[in-house]
Amino acid sequence: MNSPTGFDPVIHAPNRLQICALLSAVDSAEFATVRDAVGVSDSVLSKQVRTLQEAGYISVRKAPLGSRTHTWLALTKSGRSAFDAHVAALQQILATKTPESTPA
Amino acid sequence: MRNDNDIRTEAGTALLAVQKQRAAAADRLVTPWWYHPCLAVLVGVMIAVQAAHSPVATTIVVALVVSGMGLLASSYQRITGVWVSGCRRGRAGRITLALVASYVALVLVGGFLDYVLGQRWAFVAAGAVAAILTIVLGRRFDETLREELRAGS
Repeated sequence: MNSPTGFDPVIHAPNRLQICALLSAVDSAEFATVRDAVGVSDSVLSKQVRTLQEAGYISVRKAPLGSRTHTWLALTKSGRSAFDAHVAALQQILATKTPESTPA
Repeated sequence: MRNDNDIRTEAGTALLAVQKQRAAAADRLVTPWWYHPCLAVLVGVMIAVQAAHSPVATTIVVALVVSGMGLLASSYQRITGVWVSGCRRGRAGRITLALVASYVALVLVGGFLDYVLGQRWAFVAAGAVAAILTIVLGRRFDETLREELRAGS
């Protein structure tokens, strides 16, 4: 089976897919919120975020809050488009019938 | 070598993971009980102050309201760990548009009643109505957004 249009290997890695899924539901999310939701360590999340950032899919913003600086993550416009296209590609894969499942 | 069934199973697992994260986001979007009442007071006061016909009072109140909204937004972000603006596609976004349109309509009606017909109470009444709409439609926005996220749209 060929990968359908929109399938994005950068997004498809399990942790990166979950990061994008969470961010697609909101405008932005705090680093710790994403880390807890995905269930990974700070270092793993940082690495995945860097990969998505290099692809232009995620923007990172530092915001001071009280005495600490908080990191906020958001999908960029191209990241949101790529994620939507990737989900559509997954749905297309799932909907594709195998030859043996086609009625004779 | 992976066959088509393996690829299909992997796609299904990936879509389940996507849905799980969107549902988790919906669970997080529980607005603190005081958020909409505070926002309602800020919006209501900003409209009601027009009754004073005082540019100085309006400027001071608008500055205070804008600061208050900033404080409210940062409190929401600190508590929930996420930020959702009202500007989005779907039913939730249409609720935001309806709320903004009602603010504009209330200001226009209030202005007509006050400046043309001399009814000084008009802006105060418009502010009160705007405050009530903020609470009602604000809560409706939250519920609709959570439904949309859980439905995967």
